Amino acid sequence: MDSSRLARFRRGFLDYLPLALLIASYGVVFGALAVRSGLSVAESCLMSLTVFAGASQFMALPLIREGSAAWTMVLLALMVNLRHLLYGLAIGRMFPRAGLLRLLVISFGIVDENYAFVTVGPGRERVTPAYFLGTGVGTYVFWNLSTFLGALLGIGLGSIDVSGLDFTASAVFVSLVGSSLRGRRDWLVAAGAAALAWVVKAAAGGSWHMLAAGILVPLASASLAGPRRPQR
Amino acid sequence: MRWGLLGTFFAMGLVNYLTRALFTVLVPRGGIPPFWERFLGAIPVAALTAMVVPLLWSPQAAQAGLIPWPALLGAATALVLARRTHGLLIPSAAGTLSFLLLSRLLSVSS
Repeated sequence: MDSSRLARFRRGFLDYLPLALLIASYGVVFGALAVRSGLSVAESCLMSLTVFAGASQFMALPLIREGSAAWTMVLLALMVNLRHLLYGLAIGRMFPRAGLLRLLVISFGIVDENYAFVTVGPGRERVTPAYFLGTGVGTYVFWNLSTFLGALLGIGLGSIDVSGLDFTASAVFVSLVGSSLRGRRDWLVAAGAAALAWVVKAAAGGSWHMLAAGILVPLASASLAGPRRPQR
Repeated sequence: MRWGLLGTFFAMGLVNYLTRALFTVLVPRGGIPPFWERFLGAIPVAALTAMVVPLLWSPQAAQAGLIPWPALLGAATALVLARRTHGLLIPSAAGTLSFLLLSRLLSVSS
């Protein structure tokens, strides 16, 4: 990586650091819950190192405890993470000149938090492939370190209640979306997505609400709206 | 170490990676019509809102007549502070703290 890319990588890592620390709070929760679900510290850490997806990791824990078949957990991972397909559309569009290998590398680090950070959050003004890689590495490092810490705490502190800390994830996303809403169109998109997601979740369960709202509401918004006018 | 479990983790990781990489590499590189630009531009707000709203208040809880006051207070705190500060750390931390405090209050009083 040349010096300018290294500088952008470092900038991405440092800009993202506050969010990475927040991610660590629910990484600790995951580590603690993982050992309480019957995983060893090593298995908990290996899960975070290889799966690297909080939602599917949390949701797999009851299945592991029950001794469910492997294919059910893999299918769960697919269903829960189908929303990443939408993320890839936005991320890929940001880097029209990036080569295939670079895109494949940065794709590993796409998670909800850094996707939000570079699309609606503070990172959107500076994002480059190297910058985004910095956010991905930050996520990976802190997710895994906190899993390890949480696993140790889960064993060492017995029945201490760690529930509630995972609310941090919801608070982070509310903050990111809330600070990004710029005009009436954004508010309408958010309101429409909230309503549709709630209805689809009630009707279909699973993670279909994210795909439905993530595709249909933007389609409606693009159909109904003209070009965005500059903010006065 | 249960090697079968490790194999499952690798399979889950591979599936996750494929969902992340597929459209990242397949999305068109050149100019795209304004309609699709508007569509892609609206996806982040829509997808992220769609993810978080059912987490805050699940349809199952609503059908059972349960109102998740701690989660709603936490989210409202985070939203208001995020709009005022355009920051991340303070709104998120304040929202989480509000959630935890009200959760404890309600569990103590019940």
